[in-house]
Amino acid sequence: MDTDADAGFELWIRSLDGDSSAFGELFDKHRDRVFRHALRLSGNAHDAEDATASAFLELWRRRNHVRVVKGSVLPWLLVTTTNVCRNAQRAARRYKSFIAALPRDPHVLGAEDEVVRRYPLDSVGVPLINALRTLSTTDMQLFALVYLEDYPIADAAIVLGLSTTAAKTRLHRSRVRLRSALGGPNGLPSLPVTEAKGDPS
Amino acid sequence: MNQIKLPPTFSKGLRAALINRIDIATAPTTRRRRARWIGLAIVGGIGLLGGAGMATATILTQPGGTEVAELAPPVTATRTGTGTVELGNAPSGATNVRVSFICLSAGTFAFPDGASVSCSDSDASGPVRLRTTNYSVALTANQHSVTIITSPTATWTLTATYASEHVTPWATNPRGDSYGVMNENGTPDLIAVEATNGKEGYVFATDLSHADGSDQNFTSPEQALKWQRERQSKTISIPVYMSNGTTRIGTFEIAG
Repeated sequence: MDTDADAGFELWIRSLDGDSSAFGELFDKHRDRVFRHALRLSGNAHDAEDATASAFLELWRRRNHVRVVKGSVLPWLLVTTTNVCRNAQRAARRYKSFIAALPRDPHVLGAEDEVVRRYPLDSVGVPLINALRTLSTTDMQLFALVYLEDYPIADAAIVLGLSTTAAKTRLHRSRVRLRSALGGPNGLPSLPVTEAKGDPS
Repeated sequence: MNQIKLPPTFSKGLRAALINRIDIATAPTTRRRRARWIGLAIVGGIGLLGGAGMATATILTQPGGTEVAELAPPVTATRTGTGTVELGNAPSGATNVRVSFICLSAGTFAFPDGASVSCSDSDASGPVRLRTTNYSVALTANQHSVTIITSPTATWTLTATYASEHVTPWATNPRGDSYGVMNENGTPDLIAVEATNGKEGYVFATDLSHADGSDQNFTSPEQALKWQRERQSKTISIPVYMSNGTTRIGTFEIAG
């Protein structure tokens, strides 16, 4: 664990003891990354804000089940965000009143337009979002962590409770499936994979 | 480098609301040092109650609680630094490994699935009861050991055993209300609690959700803030009944 991870881990331990200011600091640390992830998957800022709120609410609600990877809760948050974006209606129902009470910023541009305009290489794009939705929940979570968030396969496997071998098999299957959903071998852009260092077992 | 950030007004509002939610859930009148159980679905139930005063021992015998059978003699080991404790082959029917972990020095100790325990100097020299972490983790294929990851000088001891665990069904009273503890399946009509007089009984889930605000259907931020202001520093009392849902035996308090 590096120093940053140690600091994050300390914040998480304090949060588990009910220290709300530590949870606030964890929120500050991860909110933008979670939001960007949600934005790429949901395609609009309003839904991405809802997903961000739901992910942090889930972090607190399911705090005793959170898997910490190398001292960080971020992978778990990103998996949860993926899940929330996939089941947007269910998540919105659970936290309806909480989310409805939050203040909003005016959105001049559609967020997806904004992402595409400013960061063309970061936007997932509607075809891929739709194709991702054809994957099983675990496959989508795994794909999002490894290909969209650049986590090593071994780390993604830990947070999802999979063996590294199983994760690799699932990723391969997902690529085949996405390629087919996107209309052929040229439909899916070449995606680099960050391989795990050392023995993953 | 992507510079898109969570919009500031929303971010500020969300941060404040999250902190408020945690403060309500861990308010002093309901905060109580409880045995630490990590990794059991049932702990989520305690969390949902806002750390309310439920006796851990009761949970294990309540309808909806987790029934546990230990399937092998426990193995105990003491180590310094990261170490693995071998448990032998898993007996058939084992679903979990149950671990009772005690820190012998200050440090942060992580289980392989990411759950972790942190002990301060005062924790490490305090009563064993307070530095014991009971942990149950689902058995993975071919698992036959438990590994604790920690710094090279941190010392620890653990006792582990194979067990089978399953969540028992809720019971139903003559009125047709389900009762027991909250678990991974959700919430029964009557939720097991410990009343302020120490008696064990049940509160109606509807009373509880009304008292903690989760049944509120706010349509504007102003409404929600008004509700929060009115609730602040008030303690809401709700009746505690026997499992029949009619005989009142005490009161359960939720801090605002």
